[in-house]
Amino acid sequence: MNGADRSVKNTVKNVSLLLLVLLLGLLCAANWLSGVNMGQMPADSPAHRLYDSLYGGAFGYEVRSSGLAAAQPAQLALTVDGTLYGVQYNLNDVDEGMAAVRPLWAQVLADGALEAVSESALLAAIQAGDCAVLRYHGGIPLSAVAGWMGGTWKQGANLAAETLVYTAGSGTLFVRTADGALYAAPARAEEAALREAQQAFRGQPCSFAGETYAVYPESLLFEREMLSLPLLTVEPLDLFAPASGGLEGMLSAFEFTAYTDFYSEQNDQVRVFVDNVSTLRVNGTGLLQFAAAGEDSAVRAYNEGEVSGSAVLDAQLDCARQLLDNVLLACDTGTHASLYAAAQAQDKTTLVFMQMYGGVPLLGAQDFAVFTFERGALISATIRLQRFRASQTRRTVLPARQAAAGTSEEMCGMIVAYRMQDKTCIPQRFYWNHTAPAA
Amino acid sequence: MQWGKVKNILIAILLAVNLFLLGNFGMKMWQNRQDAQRLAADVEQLLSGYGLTLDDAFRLPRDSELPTLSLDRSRADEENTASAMLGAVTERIEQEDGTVRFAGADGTVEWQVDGTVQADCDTGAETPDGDAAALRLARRLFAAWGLQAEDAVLTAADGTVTMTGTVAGLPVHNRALSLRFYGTGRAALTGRWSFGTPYTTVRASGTPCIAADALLDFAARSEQKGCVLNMTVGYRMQTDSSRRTQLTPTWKITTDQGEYLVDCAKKTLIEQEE
Repeated sequence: MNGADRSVKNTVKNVSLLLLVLLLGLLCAANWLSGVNMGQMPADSPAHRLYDSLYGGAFGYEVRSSGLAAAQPAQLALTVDGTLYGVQYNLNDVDEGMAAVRPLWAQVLADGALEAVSESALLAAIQAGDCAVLRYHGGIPLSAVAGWMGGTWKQGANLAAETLVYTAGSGTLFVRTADGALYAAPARAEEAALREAQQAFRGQPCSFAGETYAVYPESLLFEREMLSLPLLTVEPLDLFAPASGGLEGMLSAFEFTAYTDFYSEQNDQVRVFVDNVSTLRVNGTGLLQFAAAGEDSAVRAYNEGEVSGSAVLDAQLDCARQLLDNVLLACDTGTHASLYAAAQAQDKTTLVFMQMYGGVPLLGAQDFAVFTFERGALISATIRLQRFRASQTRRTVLPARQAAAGTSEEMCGMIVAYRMQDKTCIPQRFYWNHTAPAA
Repeated sequence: MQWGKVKNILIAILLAVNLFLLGNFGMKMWQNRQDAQRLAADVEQLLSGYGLTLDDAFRLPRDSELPTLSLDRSRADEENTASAMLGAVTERIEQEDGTVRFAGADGTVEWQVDGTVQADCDTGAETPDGDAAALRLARRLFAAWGLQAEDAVLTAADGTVTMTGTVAGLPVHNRALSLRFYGTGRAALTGRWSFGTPYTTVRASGTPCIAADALLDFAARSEQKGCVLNMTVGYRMQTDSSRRTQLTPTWKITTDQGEYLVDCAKKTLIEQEE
């Protein structure tokens, strides 16, 4: 064999080797893809996205790590051209208002050292220039509120904030907590952010209560307030009705399937679904009780080592909110949920949600939904589902200014909420003294 | 040892491994195909018990797992569209249920919280004569009004142009706009639409969309008799209890009697649900 022949043969062998290695890679990928369970792969992984675009799945959507707020404010306000304007108790108004003020709050909620201050400091600050107000139903951890707005807050992250007031004149953020205490921290937002928010914000004229009445100085009193809300009637709920389709969706929210073993109690009024690690007790009329054996729970906010610090609470809030949204959607209750309180002790976190109808809370004798997490695992949950329908009859709620005038000497807050009376939920104004609401 | 011999051995090993992998992959594919054929036969037999048949061209679609997606309402886009349609918005009224009504010299536009739109305006062009002209004008108007869609499909019939499109690469069965030309340069727009990119969260789980299950549920619940022509997986727009727009995985089943939507998660017929 001459040199030229040997060279050709060598080239052929090299090319063959190269092609065979390439083919090996392709075949390994094909074998792996044909055996992989895409359902268990994170939705944002490149392999999942490639699979979806190849095999007709959904693609081209955003995967957000968080960002959906577990609570919507009850009231928002902002000073525009020297006048305070606000929106309250209406999902559309609040949504629109939030879109306008979120960039401003993202700058304000950028961490700071909170110190207890007197009411007079707040009174002086709200009279000294432009202000922005956010008021929630219940006490929301400050770090969570900051996260929803696009900011970050680390010092006093777990402070249960009910009302936030930013006073641009003094450059201060005031935080009213769920127990009525008042804190303040230096805060500064760019002038341009304030101007943009003022241009985009629409609302009704209102003013601060100040020291005129025995309510918190930052309470918003709307001019010509006419809050007219429909009465709600409670409709019977039958989760086991075959046509409802809700049971399967609800089971799926708790990581059970329609094929999970169950046994019946109380003449099939109650079904208890059991798997190796958790139990879901479903009362056909709407009471759900979930319990899991500690860390083995199938419902997880995060896996060990995935998150740490304040991201732990964010993940737990996200998990609980998502689960509640799925349950409410499956059962078509006509309501939604909003975070009301969060408590953290050692490795356990308890989250309490209230039921809302169109932005107005529904008060009951017991909490609507309570979730307990142990690190990433949901170890217990109780949800009291009720289905409401709006009636044609509407009720006008006592205006805040009149309600404030009727307060006693003890300082308190005011809320609008539904409360059950004779099988009908009636909207009313309540005084809120941080122990129990009183009509 | 000479390099030539080493290469020969390597080639032999790679050939053997590749043949094994090819055989393994081929076996899996063949097994999947057999399973699919068996499933299709079983489904056909079960459907016949309900008085339904499968069209000769019908093939069971591939099962998939789709995330439920969310969409934020964009009042800014709604207002931009209204401004483009009306020339200038002279009045903007937001009702308690979230409906926003725009009025201008050229007509009115109304957006509801669930994405439903109703508009009547002047097009500034002559009323098109024939479907081809209607399609051309509609394409130009939709672009000018900012109503764009991925994979947009425009169809015309009797002077009305309907536009559909995909979101996240899949059809949204109840998302379509119809533009009807009438009078002297007037147009009426009706339908349901959305703006922006849909999103989900990292921890959101997908909904299994299993074609055979959906078909059997449809047969059991609809009490329809006839022939199933095809079925497509996609989404449907709905508003959840907190008035957020959700894209819910849904099958569309087309029979010789009509079109039906089946929720992938609840396995319910949408008409029945609503």
